[in-house]
Amino acid sequence: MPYETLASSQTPALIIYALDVSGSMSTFMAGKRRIDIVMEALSATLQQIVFRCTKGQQISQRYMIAMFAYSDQVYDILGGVRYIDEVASLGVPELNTMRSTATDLVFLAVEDLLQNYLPSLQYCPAPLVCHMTDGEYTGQDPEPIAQRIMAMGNYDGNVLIENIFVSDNILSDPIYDPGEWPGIHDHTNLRTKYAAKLQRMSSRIPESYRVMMAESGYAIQPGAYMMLPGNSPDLIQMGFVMSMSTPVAQ
Amino acid sequence: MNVEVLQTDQKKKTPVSNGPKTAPYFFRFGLDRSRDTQKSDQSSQDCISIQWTATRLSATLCDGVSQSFFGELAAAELSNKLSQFLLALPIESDAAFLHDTIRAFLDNLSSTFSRTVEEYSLDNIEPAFLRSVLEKKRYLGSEAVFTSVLLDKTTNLTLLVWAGDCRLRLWLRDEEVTKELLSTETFLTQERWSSSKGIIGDLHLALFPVSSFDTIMSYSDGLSLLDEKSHVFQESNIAIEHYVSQTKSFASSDDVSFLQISTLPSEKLPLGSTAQLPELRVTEGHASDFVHLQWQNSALVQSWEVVANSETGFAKLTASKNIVKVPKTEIASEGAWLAYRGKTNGGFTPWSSWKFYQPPRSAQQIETEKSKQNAILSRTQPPLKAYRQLPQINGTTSSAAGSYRAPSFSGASNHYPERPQTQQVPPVSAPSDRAWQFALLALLVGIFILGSFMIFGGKGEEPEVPLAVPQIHRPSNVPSFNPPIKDTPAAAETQPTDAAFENADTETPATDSAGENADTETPATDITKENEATEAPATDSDEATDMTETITHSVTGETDDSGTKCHLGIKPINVFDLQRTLFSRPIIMRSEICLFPE
Repeated sequence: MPYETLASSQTPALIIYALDVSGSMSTFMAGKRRIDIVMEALSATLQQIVFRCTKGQQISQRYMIAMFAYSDQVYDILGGVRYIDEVASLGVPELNTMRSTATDLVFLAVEDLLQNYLPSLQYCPAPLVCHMTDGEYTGQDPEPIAQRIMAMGNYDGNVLIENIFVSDNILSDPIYDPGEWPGIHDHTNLRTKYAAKLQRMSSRIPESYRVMMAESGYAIQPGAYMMLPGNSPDLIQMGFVMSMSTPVAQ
Repeated sequence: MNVEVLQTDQKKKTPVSNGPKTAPYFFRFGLDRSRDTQKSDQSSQDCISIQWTATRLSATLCDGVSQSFFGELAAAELSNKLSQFLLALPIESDAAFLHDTIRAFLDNLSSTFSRTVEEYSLDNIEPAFLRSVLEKKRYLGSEAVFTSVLLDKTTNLTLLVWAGDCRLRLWLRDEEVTKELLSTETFLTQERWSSSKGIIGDLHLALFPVSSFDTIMSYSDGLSLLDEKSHVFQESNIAIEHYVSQTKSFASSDDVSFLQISTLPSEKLPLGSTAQLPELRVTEGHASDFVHLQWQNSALVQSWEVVANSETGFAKLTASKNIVKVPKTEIASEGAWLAYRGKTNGGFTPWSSWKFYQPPRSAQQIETEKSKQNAILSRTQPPLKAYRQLPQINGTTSSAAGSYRAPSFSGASNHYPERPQTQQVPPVSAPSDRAWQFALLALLVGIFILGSFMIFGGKGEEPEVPLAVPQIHRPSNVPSFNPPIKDTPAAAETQPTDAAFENADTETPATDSAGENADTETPATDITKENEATEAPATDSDEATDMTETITHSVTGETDDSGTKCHLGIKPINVFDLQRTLFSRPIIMRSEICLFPE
């Protein structure tokens, strides 16, 4: 079965975060800057990953993390791929907002990283790319690059791309309770062309991820895209929970 | 009543071994740590406690929940206390009464043990991020799944108690009767004993005559490969150990524990599990690099098999004589359990019992072990010098990134090689408590600005010179790109120019010498337009204006030394490089008052 490989110290799961730090991330949502909400959600997610990996006082190296921040340049926040215990020792960085949204550059960086690391991750869970943005790209179209990334893979399955689109302008119908939201499907009415593009740049959620999300209290339905409208802190949190839903060895 | 107690040591391996003959029933047990646990020299989260008198035997096998707070604590406490309680529990009563009694005991044990959990010190745990996670786990409590067995020769009754997914299997006359005796029972992962909540889920209990079975076996889920083996109860201790060693190669390698109790008299016990040859002897020469393994010879034996079993591996070799010469270096430095058996025309003899041997360690090995221990202790807290920037990518894949050596998980290496240090540009602000540095810098910049006003501000107060701010000019030497800046609250308060950058469209900069010019919004817009003209496609739907762009605020009516008409303005200076050198992180931009040609 695809996407069933357990994240373990012998077969660690790679999660790549690509975080938009354009100037608009300074705008406020629910009384806080968007960037701060994102970083809080990321911090909570990393804590949850560490929670899952900790046995006694030992953090098992079941996850590897790479983290890019991008605006008109791409910044490798962790200096490459780091095991989760190293990330825990670093703590969660504070990101600063910058200027534009060169989405193509960050996807090129992700593609480059995967080309280097995938050969040695053949028996590991399929890597996941979690892209968080709040605006349209300002450079080249990132979709072809995203499609190339989704075509990459290992024995567990193709690389997964998840998009968290921090915007109020995605869905026609508001989401009142993230815990009961079924997710974005083919028939979901998206309000902008860019949202539709992000949908095409998103993988469908594997069943194993969906089950893990159900255990976390979310009702994502089979076949949903790994794309979330991050128009509230709860939904942004949900997006990050999705990113760490790799099945893990107990 | 004389009570004997046997509890496994969670800090080291216990190979599957037979219990003492003083026990009223034959039993064998074993425990081993998972690959990761052994590698990091942590305690096993499994634990077995076996206690007996002349007529009773109680045993509890616990598997600590790894995602709880130090599950090994719960496992150790529960296995010991529950075995102790059951050993003294009268079981003539009906099952329902026993169930309520045991549940009440376990709930009460939670309330007393929760204090141990609350007081468990995390002071020496690093990093702080891990400590905060452990505090969350502490709130949830320490948890364990378990199976308990009580056998009573006086009443000829057997009591089984369990919660969770530890296995419990029974045999009668070589046939497995688990389904018959426990058909309606369940073994659910989510059921457990918790220090904070007592029993989570149901406490399961079964009470039946000892004659219903003759062998009972329990093992933790780490040994789940035994599930498919129908006659495992007949296999030798060495064979069980071989299974244990196999689990270490699994991705889901977990701590393992094994317990088997038989009600059969010794003469009817399965030969493989009981009959044993005497231990072998290990002799080592004083100056020799070899040890000799020797055992009693037999004319009937054609060849011998010797196994060396340690936490790091299981090895078997064949010998033609009853003595084997082995290099000390071939034996695991932490020691190995050795056993042998002979091959005759009629098959193999039973295995001998274990002989533990640890080769003497050289000074060099002791030093190596010390350094390994240090590495283990600090492994979760490697200090990173700084964050590093990915080389700029210009539409193609980065050639610099191609130089990274990919990690290997094929067993050759499981760590990434350090990449060469590249230019250290901090794209993020590492969490720190350097507020005082910001405050100091802000104070210095404030003094600088104040001093500038004292020097240049005189003419601005001349009543005959009209002051106006028609527009804001962008000095040519201001770079079009500024690195990301994290403004701390302290800096924002004491650095009016930075506050102006953040709120250019709403506030009047405090550095405006006249102070009465309220129309500085227009210049900010001008700068924004200027940027749009020079930047990549402005299709960004970002909803906020770029906040980090620099602006100047000017006062006209000045002339420079050459007589050129100028305006007085604030010139931003990027001190990013300087700050990076000093503080390893970007701080703010500072500004100075200067004259700009009109």
